[in-house]
Amino acid sequence: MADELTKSIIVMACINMMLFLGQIATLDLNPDSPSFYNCEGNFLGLAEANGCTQGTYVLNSNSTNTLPSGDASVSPTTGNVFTDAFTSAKTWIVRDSGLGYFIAVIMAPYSFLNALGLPTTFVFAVGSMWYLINIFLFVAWLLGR
Amino acid sequence: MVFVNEGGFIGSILTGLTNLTGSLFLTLFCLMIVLIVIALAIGLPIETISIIYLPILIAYASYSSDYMAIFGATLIYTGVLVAKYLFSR
Repeated sequence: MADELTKSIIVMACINMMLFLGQIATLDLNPDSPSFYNCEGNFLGLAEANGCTQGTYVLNSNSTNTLPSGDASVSPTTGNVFTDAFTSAKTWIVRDSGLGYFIAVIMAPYSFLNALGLPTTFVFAVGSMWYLINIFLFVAWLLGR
Repeated sequence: MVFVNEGGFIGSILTGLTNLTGSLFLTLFCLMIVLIVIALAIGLPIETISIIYLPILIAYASYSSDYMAIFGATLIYTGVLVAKYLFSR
């Protein structure tokens, strides 16, 4: 499942890149053209040094914010070593590897389809399909399937 | 037609086609059909027409927000193509 999860991240990154470049291209041709994509708070904003808030578009060279960092030890809560190890691993992945990164991936279609002004029902249908599939892939990856 | 250089090659095509069809939407539609036919005739994959179609849509989208949805759909499709051709094995 890790392959499929990687593919979904690659597809989202490419789509976000094209939308970002398309927005920059239209604004370059006509500064008054409608704005439909802003990388602030979006998928690409995770890689920008200032989170796309200042319009400078500099790649974040300090990767500790986006890459897994920090360690953790197994905290005994149930006394079952497998359950404790899984709980600790899940906590580490959710907290230290950046859950926001994963949420940005699963919410990306919903946010950019909304920004394009498509009907809300269509956006919901496509967004929920992407959301459910990726949640499934993520859980499968967590379980090592 | 205020958004293209009418003296240019692409501008001449867009202006002439719009005079013929009477609508920018129909111009876009006709242009896409012609490009698809050309791609099929010379044996190219249909997605290669996005090389020509995307810059035209950028000009359209910068001109009017009416083209934003179709422009966005094309960008998403192109993003999927980039992922497919650059990162797939």
